[in-house]
Amino acid sequence: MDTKPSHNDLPWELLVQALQGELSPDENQRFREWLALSEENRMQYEQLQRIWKDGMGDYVFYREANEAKGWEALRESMGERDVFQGGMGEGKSGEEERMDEGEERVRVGDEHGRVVMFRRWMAAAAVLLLAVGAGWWYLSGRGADMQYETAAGEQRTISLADGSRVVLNGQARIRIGKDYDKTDRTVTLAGGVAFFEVAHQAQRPFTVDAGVISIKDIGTSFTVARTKDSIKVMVSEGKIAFIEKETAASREMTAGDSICFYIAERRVRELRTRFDNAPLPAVIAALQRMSGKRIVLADAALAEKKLTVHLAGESFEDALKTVCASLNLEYKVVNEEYILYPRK
Amino acid sequence: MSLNEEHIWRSIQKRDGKVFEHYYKEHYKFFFLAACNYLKDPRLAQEIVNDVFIKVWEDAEAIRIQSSLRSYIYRAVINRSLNELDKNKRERQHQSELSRRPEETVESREMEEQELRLRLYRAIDQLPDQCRKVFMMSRFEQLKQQEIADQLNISIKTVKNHITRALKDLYEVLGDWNSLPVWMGVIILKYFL
Repeated sequence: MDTKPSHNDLPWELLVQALQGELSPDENQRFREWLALSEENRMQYEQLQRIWKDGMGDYVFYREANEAKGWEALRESMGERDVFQGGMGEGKSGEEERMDEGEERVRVGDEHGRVVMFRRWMAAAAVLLLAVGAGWWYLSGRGADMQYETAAGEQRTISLADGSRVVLNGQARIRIGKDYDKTDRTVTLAGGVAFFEVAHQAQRPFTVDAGVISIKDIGTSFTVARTKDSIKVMVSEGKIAFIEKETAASREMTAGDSICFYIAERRVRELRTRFDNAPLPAVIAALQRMSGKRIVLADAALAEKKLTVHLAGESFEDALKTVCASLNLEYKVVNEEYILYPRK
Repeated sequence: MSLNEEHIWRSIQKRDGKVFEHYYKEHYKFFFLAACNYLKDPRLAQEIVNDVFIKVWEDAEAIRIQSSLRSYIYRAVINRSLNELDKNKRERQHQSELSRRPEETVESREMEEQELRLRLYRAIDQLPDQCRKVFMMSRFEQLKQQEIADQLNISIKTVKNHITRALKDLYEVLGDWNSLPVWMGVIILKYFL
């Protein structure tokens, strides 16, 4: 009944290394041999690649999906419109019906002569839900520092006094000092992922304090993700300064740049978009990672080629064209794969 | 429409809010992810799904469902998402590249793939904690095996075992995954961090 080949026969050790791009030369050799062995093998590997690359892409959103929150929001927007067409709960049992005694019902005939009901309490309930569900904030002991914390799966936008915006993903915590926009503009990210869109002010730079790292905006939007082990920064627009507080070492990052800082080792790893005389496979790996598309070299000798290129801010096809132009290559799309080959 | 869907749809037309709520909650993730697939913006995705559901609720009597309720809502969600995307593109040069509207003929395949992705994500949630953690670090934080081992204070061998275990599980769940369409390859790194 089960026609699937047993997956225990697969050389998992090699496959895992290959998917993560960590094949040693020797493993690479063995992996190639295995791939070449049969069409079946090649297909199985492609399937795994699909799971690993394309298939996983939206998992982050899956984690954010929350039907209960969605439903609350839906009820709220229906309340707002004042057109709540009675019923939502119309299928109630008699017992529940009696519990609604206190509610106010207004019957209105609409243009089709249908009878609709507007329940005023619905809107009130929605407002209350909103107040409870919107995360929490409190005044800290020092006075008027504001703290915001989001629940898992919650996303919340905070508009700051100066017009800047912070979007918190689930389980993020930030603190905004009571003097924000008075003496300086500092926001502390205690943990989690936050996206910042900064209203630029030359005299008062915007700073994100992320513990051992601070990020100073030079007019821009960017994302910071802080865990207990690492701090990641990715710049969407404009420029920022990434500052290691202990040493005051600072580096400038521009749109498309990403950095991961490992707290324990005080070590920075660049998630690269800029390549300087880098081997073509490294550039391709980055492009694939960014686009989710598959790029294949028609000729193994191409893997030896090196190039200097900056991929940030370009569409996938433009980036690929840039790569091709600099190495005198062309590409074609076959079965959703981008195949690079030498220009004839 | 399947019998069950037929029943659900008739109840919604009769303004049975409980059935409506139940249907919403049962299928929310599916539609939400379909919108996210295009928009890469969970807030917007929720808004769009809700708009569509509100419209369905409000116009239920006037709506004629041809194929199935699910594909009716799916199509509405996708169309809204694409409109939103066009708007965004003009407004702030959204980085996304897709412009192809799904043909009706490929729609059912897209829905199937959406369903598979959902199954994949559920399978990831089923992994043991440490295993999932290692897997996520490798896949989403793009850490090297050595880096993961260092951070979690485990051996590199253990890291490999976890990733292998995870992949095996997922592979099993998705044994029948067909090739994914090109338009899926759209990402916004912003939410990847």
